[in-house]
Amino acid sequence: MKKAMFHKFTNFIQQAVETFAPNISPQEEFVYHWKSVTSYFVDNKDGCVRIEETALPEHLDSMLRILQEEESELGEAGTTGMCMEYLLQHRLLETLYTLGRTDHPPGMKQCVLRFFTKLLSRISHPLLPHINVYRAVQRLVKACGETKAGPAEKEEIEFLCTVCAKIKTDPYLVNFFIESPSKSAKTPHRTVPAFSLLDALLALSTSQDARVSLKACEGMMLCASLPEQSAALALISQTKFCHSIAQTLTELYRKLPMQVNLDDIEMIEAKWGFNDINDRHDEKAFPGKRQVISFLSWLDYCDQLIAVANPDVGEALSREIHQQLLTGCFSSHLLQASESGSLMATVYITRCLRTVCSPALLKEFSYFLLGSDRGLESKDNPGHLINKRLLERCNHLSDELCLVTLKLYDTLLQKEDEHIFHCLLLRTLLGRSYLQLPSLPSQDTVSDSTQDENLEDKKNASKEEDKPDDLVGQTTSSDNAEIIANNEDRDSSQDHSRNIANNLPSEVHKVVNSFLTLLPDEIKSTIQTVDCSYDMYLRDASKQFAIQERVCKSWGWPKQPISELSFSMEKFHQGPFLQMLFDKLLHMLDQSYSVNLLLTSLISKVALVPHPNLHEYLLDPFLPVAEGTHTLYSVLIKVTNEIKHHQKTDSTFPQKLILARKQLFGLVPNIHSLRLAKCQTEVPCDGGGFEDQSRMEAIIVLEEFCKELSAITFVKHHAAVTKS
Amino acid sequence: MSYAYLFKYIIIGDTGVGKSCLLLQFTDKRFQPVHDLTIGVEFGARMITIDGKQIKLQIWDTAGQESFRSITRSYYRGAAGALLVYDITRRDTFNHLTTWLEDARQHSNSNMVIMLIGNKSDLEARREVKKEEGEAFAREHGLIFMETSAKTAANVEEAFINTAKEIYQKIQDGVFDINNEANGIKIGPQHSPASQSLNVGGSGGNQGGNCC
Repeated sequence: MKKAMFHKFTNFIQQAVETFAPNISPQEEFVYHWKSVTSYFVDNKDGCVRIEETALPEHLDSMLRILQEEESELGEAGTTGMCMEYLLQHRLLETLYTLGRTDHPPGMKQCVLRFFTKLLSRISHPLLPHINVYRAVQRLVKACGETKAGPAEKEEIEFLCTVCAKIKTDPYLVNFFIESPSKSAKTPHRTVPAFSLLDALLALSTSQDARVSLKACEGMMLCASLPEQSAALALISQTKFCHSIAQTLTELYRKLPMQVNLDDIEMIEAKWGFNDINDRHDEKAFPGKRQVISFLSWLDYCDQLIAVANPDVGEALSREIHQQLLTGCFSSHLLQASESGSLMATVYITRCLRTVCSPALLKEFSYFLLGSDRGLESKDNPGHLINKRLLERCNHLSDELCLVTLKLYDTLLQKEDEHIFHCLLLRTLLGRSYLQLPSLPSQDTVSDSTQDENLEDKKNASKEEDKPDDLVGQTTSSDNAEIIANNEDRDSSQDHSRNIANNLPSEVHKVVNSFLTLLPDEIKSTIQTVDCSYDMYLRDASKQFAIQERVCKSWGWPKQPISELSFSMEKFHQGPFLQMLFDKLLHMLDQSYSVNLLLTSLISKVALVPHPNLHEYLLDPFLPVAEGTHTLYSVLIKVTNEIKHHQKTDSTFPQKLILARKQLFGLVPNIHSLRLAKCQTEVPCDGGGFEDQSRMEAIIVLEEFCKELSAITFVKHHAAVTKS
Repeated sequence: MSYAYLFKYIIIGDTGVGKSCLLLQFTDKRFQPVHDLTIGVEFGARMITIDGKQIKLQIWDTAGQESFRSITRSYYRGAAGALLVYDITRRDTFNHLTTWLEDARQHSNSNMVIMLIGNKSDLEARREVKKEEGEAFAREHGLIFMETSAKTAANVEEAFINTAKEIYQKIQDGVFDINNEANGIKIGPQHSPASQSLNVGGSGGNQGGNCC
């Protein structure tokens, strides 16, 4: 009531000024309002009224209005009118800052903050470079975030973000906000720059008011993404920015529930700024979901921040996260002996990996999991401890632990990070030591560069043609001898090896068929439907390959196999990851259906990788390999032989196989649908139904997997041919 | 209040085209002639009814300023619908649509429904962009189109609700995977048939406050 009365009164005065003095100039009016503001403080030293009961807001608003009108009348950019000059000359902003600082009358601080915010955003003339502006602004910045949950939080964040937006538009302005105590002194070494804008934002980012903390996060993103090196340096070395951001993440990690349904973690989605954890109407709620969402949202924020940040800032923050979260927490959790503990840690790090996409942070994750070493792994070199332990877990007695660890590798191979592919797959293959022929190091060695490719192609091709034919046949390992015996014509296989580089289509059919005919017809559960499902595998492989090619495009991989001397081995070893995959493939018949599905999916992913060395090693059954070398094909042959043996000793084999197929493929057409179904709902088909069910299921998975591999091979060859 | 679905929207477009005013008109049914630049993101929410189902719209109003662009991008992810707004009295805001659209398509999920809005239709005298041009742009890029006025409230309800209808239809057709919350859609708690009495445009003003 009292307030309303007062408003009427001030409005009256206002109108009176306008009516009774029609010839008053804008400047006089401006000065009148300003004097009214200052005189209030002279006259009301001990008043205890709230700001709303005074005329101060109205006077300040009028001043803003006059300034705006003045600017729009001047029209020209770069000129300042009389009122603006008055504001600058008489240090109005500094006085206002002082008045706001005391928050007297209560609410004055908010009022001053609003004035600054509007002044900065409404006036298009660049004000911040003026010393009388930025000094006051900088002081006001320092006064923000001082009191936790203060009444002015909302105004503070609006003001800070307005300053951030101004700086983002003209990044050099940031230098006004990086303070050196003795800026004028000629000894820059003694100065310690401070970045109070960021400190204020950090303080507000912990606000309980979601809108305030969200905007503080946006402000920090703006500051972190400034191209100015001075800002990046100040932010890294003079603020707690990286430390605080990583610390928040670590604290949220520590609050994660350790007893949750694994599928819940996999299904959960959390994006920074978009989550509503206070939503009480959540159908899929589970205890601890709120904590999981908070953690993942903050991780997403970190990832987004790192992606847009100045590269120096992004790297510094990524390293800090590596140190605090990965080394500090995940390391011991992943390595612990407790099965349930390491299980949860594996699930969480897999989920984290799914969120992380910024190159800098992804690099730290891959360094943490796989090590930063890119050199050759030898058999007796223990390798990176975490990777080693994880690989062991893929053979763990607990199916669940084995599955989640395989999923972690599956996720790793979906990330766009060259280091992952190099460490897991390529470093043992780059020396091409798997080849049987005595390598011709001097000329055959091809450097990393792909520039002289055509030239090198021709060189390679002619080299291979020069090879004496019998050399290939003689020293083939026992496994491959069998392969070649399996495939009628020995001569053509040698032809093939000569023509690897040329990708002759006729040879492709042989390779494709060698996968398709791995299992003899009597062991196949479907002969009639082959055509239809094979089409689907082709379509899928071509889609997946296109994606994979796009991912790897920028990594400068060669088009033809290379032999890098630094990666050549005396005795070839495929590396621990491929070895794990081969070992598991070898034991398919004794593994659960879920493990086999995931395993074959992983191998397919590897097979799609467009690196020529990996391609020939993995997908060319006719490749003359060194003695004792295990290849994908040799492993598949072994498994097939085991099945053949099984089939011969069991008269009910065909019936059981058909039964298993009917149960698995009741309604779904191919292995992809099975993998999908497996992800979403637990299909109750892990053994136990009838005798040998699990084995029969493994055979069916193998049958489908062979089709898939042959489709992948075809698609890759086809792509190579159409490109050249 | 319980809902059957929750749709997340974002409003994008150049600075000054009236994004915040559209949101305010939709959530609070009022118009604010002087509106300061949106600094960072703002959000509002309102309940609507489609096909007898309560649907909660959670709307994120972004800053149009160029300096906020990199931040705006992170909001595209996880939105089911986007209102792309230009000002019919400012040709340049129309010219920038291609950039906005490319940005949105690149950073959002492919099923996101985009509604093109030519705002300030009350300022016919100052019109610089013909309605036909907006329609043609929308047709060419597969968007829904509408001209609105945040001041007179003309078509504002329709713009938000038609976008929701399109999303709802996509759910019915199985295009949107509602189990994947990354699509910007959430299934609400099992809502009782008794609460289905409200008409389209039902209860307004249930603004924000329940996020993050």
